[in-house]
Amino acid sequence: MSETIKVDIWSDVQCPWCYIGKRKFEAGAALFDGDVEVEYHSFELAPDTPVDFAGSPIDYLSERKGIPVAQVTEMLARVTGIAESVGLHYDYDSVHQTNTVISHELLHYAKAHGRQLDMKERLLKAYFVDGRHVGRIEDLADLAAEIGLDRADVVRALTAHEYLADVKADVAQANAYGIQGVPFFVIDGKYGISGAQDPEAFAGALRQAQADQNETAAAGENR
Amino acid sequence: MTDVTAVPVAAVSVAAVPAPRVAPFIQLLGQSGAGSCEGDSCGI
Repeated sequence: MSETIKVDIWSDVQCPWCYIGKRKFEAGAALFDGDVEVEYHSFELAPDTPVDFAGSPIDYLSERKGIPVAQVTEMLARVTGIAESVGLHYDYDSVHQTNTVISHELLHYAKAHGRQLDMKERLLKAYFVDGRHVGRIEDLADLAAEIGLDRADVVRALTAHEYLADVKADVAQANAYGIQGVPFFVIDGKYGISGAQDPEAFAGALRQAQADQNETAAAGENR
Repeated sequence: MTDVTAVPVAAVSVAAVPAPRVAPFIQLLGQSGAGSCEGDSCGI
């Protein structure tokens, strides 16, 4: 009998493909006949973004990347359509562009309290669907409380930046792996999947990791 | 159900979108060119 397959996922809260990829991975894992353990890791796509960026995502992308507003609008419409295809209702008109480092600290806090997966889902939905701010401590504490975490303790931990070193360690690990974009999935420490791929790609990789485990176990029994 | 087999890095790198240059102990699976964000660009 094979063991649980560990999947490490590097992701950022304000990455549209990360939320889409999360849904596709979940669909792939549902196709897989085995146990999967998921751990999310921090990746900061734009660490120099101010917490309170004065403008919309369209302003941000057009000013920062120099892309014409019409083209940005078209790009966001496209990714919104792809999100819709996996059941996610992105609302870019209400998105608050921000710095995500503290939201990553919150994800590490949640992991330490056994709630990382719920926190990840809540943060992504808060940013892309609900128009909530995911850069300020008080707003993040509200979101943490919504999944049952101790609001006051979250404020304390985030104010003290207790988990900042863990965020930076994740970023360093991503660099060591050569990860340049997210979402990025590392399956059983040896297989990598880049981007929001189709569910079958994830299911196939999980099956391959399972087959490897079974092969290793069989080899051990034959010694 | 389609089974996804291992795709050597050299094979996926010839696609229109280059495969990420990951550590040698990680073998890339799946297709290259799936939606992802790099820096503040999301290829959208």
